[in-house]
Amino acid sequence: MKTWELLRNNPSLFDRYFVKEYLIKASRNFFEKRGYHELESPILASALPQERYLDVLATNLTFTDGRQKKAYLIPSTETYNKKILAAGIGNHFVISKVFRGLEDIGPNHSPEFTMMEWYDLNSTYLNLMNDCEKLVNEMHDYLCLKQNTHKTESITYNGKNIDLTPSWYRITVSEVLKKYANIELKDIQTLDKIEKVATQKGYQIEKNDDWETIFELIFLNEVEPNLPQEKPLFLYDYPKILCPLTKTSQSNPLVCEKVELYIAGREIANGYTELRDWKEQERRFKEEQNARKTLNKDEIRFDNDLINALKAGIPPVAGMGLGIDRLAMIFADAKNISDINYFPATELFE
Amino acid sequence: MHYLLRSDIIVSLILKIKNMALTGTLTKGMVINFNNEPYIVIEKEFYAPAKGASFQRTKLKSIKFGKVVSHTFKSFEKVEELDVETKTMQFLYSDDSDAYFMDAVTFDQIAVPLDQIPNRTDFLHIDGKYILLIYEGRAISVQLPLKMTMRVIETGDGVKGNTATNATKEAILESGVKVQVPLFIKNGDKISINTESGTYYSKEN
Repeated sequence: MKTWELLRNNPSLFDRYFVKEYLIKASRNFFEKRGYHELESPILASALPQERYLDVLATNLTFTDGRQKKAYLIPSTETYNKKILAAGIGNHFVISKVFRGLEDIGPNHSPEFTMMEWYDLNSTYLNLMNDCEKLVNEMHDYLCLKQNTHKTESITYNGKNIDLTPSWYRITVSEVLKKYANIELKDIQTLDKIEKVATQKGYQIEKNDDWETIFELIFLNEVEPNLPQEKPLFLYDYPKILCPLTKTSQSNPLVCEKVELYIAGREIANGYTELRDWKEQERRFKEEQNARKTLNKDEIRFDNDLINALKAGIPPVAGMGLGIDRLAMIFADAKNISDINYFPATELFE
Repeated sequence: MHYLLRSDIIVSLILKIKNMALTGTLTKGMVINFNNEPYIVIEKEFYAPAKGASFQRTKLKSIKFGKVVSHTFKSFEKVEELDVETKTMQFLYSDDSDAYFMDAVTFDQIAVPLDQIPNRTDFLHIDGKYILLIYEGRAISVQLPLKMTMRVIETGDGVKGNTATNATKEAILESGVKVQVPLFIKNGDKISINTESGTYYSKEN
């Protein structure tokens, strides 16, 4: 039975599907009150940021004179946020469909999903955490209002209680590494060292595995499943190698100012104090472009316009991206992304 | 035309010969060697972090001890696939602990503990044929198709005039399972059921 038939037969199910709509409305109210502009981003792009593992969705535009141009469905709106920051828009947010050329469509994955990003001038990732806490609480208030339920301090997801009252857990990556994987961040600073640690732990490591992959392997197996879930959690201060375009922490040169929000053990949002150095950005893009060639990935047209925008200069800024579908799943207590979308990918491409 | 084979395809071909599999190709029901013990894959989900290579999150069940573990593999990790025999057998009956199946040719019978049948045992119907996975002589799993067609043996007329709010009614299917169906379904209709969610999917002609 298709979702529209299901809803026709059982209209009480609509409540679950309205959650996403309410979250978006609450976000617009939240940013409107704070004087943010809303950016409408293109979703069909002529160039993308270079990223070695990105599986792009591309198509060809054909013009009446017969010329053809490659067009990409965007994996994030970030490049447009940065260009509009260079233009001088100031604080702004964007709510957009973004795309991944994934191999699988699963309970947590869809090739298209809704992403919200906001950019806060003269701010840092610490502010992002505070704003995120307020935003999610306002979303919750709005949901209670629209669904005519009493405002509660906690929500239930998958049978477990999550307390939303501030302040949420804030833990550094090096703390959780030590606690759950018994690793000191300073002891795994090179590929050789992390390889040795992972091999001793019994992981299968191959020659072409890079530092990021090995780190993620340990993190996904030993850290993530053990993160506390009674409250939302901000994990922050990520190893520098994982976020080359993020500002290095002032207190610890091994880490950068990146934060990820986990709710119910799931990654919901991530944010950075943005690096504004165009030379570093260009160097990194070229490195990623070369890595794509080595990995046999499709060539992506280089976004020179972004480098030019950074050259012209963007103000000090912190930016956060939040996955609306995942958050809607949590508020709707839905196990599957297809339970909160009227036209889920599983149904369209089954 | 591409004249060069992609390197990952070549790797897959070589692995096939050595009975090794890439973790990206793991599927539910596959039996692998994990920490030198046989495990059956009961769940697999693709995961791609924002930056970095992709991973496969899995839930594996130990065939010897029954315990379930979670493990995340890199997508191109190699695992040894263990030889599992598949046999199509006829379902006879079940009791509190086991379901009994028969080989329609040799009449050999085999018992499968109910907790090893993923999804729902109440979708097994007598004389229905199912694929059993056999490892070292023991049945370790029964594969239910995602969609199964079954006949409705009993359903009411549905309450007329109440279609706007609750346009479904209960139906009992030939396996004895009860599901909610739309009002137009009648006794004797064949319907297809999603065995994972246990819900009505569509009416068959």
